[in-house]
Amino acid sequence: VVLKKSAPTGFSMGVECIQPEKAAASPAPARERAGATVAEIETVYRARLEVFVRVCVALLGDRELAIDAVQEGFAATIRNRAAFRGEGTVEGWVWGAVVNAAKNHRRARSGREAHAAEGGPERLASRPARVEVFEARGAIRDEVAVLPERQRLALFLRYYADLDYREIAAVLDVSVGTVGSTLHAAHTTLRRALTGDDADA
Amino acid sequence: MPDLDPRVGELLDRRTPRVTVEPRWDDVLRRAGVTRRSVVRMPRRRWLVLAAVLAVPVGIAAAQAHHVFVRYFSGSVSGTPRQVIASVIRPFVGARHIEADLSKARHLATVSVGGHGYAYFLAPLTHGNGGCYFEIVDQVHISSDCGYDSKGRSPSVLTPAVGEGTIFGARTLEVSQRPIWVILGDMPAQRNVTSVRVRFQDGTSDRAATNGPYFSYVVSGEHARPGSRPTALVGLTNDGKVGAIQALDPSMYSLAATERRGRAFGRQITLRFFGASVEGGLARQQIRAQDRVSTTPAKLVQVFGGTAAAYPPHPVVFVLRGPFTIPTYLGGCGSTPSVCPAPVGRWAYFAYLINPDAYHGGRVPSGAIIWLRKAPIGAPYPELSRLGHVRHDGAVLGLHGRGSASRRKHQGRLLVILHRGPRTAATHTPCVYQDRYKPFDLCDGLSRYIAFRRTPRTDQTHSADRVWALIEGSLGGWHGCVVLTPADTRALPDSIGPELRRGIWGGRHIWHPAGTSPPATPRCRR
Repeated sequence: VVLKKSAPTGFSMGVECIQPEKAAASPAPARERAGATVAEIETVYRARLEVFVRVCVALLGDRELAIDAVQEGFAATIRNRAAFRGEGTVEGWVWGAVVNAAKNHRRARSGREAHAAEGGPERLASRPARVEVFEARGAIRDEVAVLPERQRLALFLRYYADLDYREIAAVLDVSVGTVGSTLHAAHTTLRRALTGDDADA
Repeated sequence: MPDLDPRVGELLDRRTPRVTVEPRWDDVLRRAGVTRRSVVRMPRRRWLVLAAVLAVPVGIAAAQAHHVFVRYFSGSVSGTPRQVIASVIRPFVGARHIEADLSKARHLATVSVGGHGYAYFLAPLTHGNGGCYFEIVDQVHISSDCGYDSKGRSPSVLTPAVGEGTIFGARTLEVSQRPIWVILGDMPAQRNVTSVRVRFQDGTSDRAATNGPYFSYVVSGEHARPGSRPTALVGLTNDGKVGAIQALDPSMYSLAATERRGRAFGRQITLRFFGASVEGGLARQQIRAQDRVSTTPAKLVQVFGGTAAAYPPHPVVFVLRGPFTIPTYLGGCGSTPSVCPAPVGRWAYFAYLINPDAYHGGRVPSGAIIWLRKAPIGAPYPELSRLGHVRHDGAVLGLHGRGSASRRKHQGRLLVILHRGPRTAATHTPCVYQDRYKPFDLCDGLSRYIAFRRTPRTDQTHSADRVWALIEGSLGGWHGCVVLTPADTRALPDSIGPELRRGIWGGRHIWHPAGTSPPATPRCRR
């Protein structure tokens, strides 16, 4: 019988490490998790809000949009909290929802921008902000932005959110090995970009 | 796979600096359509079902009191509830063949209050003793909990909690934020119990509705008031004899008591996750690293003192490194300084242990965490290596980026000239060792190579090879130069060669063109 871990956040005070030992040694009754509690989700929110926002800022390039995506992502987890199966941490599960919310925001923004490009009403409002962001970040932003989406996302989750490969794999819905190769590719590209040299003698 | 390269880390830091955001949890709840009040008072919903076999449903009852409408249903679960339950049923981890048996699930009660319907279902497990309860709110939101006893004991033995592990396996669930509770349980067949009565503080009793071997009772109205709250479940046999009794805690049916328990639970959360949140009384930025080690009571005594009997048999020790400066109690810790991990003051480190034998998944009970030491500034760091193999983690606590300079160790710098075919390129490689960053394979590989060769030759020549690498510089006290070819690395032991090969020719470095006419004979300077 293997007990199920239900750590609400990524920092679980070592519960991960003792869980397998417990599972192997104890005949205690097993428990199946079905659903996360609002309290657990709130704990993740309060502990890691700034990290969530930072990743979303990196994804969306807009602070307010990022905050909105995070709020919406957490709201979605509350609405669907019963669907949490306890397969990973609550935080890992929340990350999936927040990333999805960020993607939705980006798609919505793309639609608005397409509309603006045709002379829509949002054109004047959206353009200066984007130009400002672009200029502030300079060429570095270009290099990160040109990475494939999966590489960018994996990089942000690894670096900004400090997720491990297993958690990133769950968010991206890929294997752990794929996370490793994805991050490797992203690093290689960025390191080359740092010097503007792609020579690999 | 290279982990975070410091240079890439700096790049990302510049691209998206850390942000400061004011939490707006109420906004999250509003978006989710949940009110804070109802959330705060939601109880732990856990329940254990003991019986594995269901009989034909027998009871139908109805009750209405104080704007609460209660329906008890018989029959199997169908329609939307069945679909909702089916969506969350899955096998137990580690026991893939065991799961809730939806075909034997029973709808026990629905409580309508405040325009919302709270429906409660029970289902046995497909194997063994145990089962699951499900609560569906407005036919959409569902929460559930399951339990089974791997030893097949009846009644099952689970983590101590009110009701669980007792003769009826009864569990009290709070309905929304109202003074309404649903008692769910089953009638112990081994005691020939066929009906259940709920006994109250005022001496009266009321019959619980039954559905197969299960029973259900909704506590509300006068039975939620002091002096009239439930005190016991009484199981009766066919001939009216008392077959089983389970005491109930009247305070379970008090909103004020529920709130107190909620606050206590909140402190558990705080205790468990204090390292991850400033609200837990400890600013996470101050946590430099975490060490953990599985050990024995005897070893604990040697390092932390005390007596072996005071420690659990399989302690897992955690030490959070500071220094910590705690100017004030945070997160309500002022009222519970004995629980909160971060008392006001200046501290070098906090050491505690987790007792895995007291942890059964889910939330960590307070007894599972035992404080070992809150060390004031200046106290020497404990010799954790005496406890066993220490796992050090400097990244888990969100120490993004570069970390403190004092923790970085510069072990040297290498110049690598690489020749491949007609091209020659050069790169400078710093060998920086830090908790968070894995040094370049080249640094690791070369250090092992140096240790293996002891005094690598510095006059190697490889004019005949089209591919070679000249590595020059310092590394961990070694100063010198070596010339290597792929063939050289292949001749090295497996613990050295592949890593060195990866480090040199693995494409991890940024090469600068060094001309197209390399010297025919690479040679280290003497």
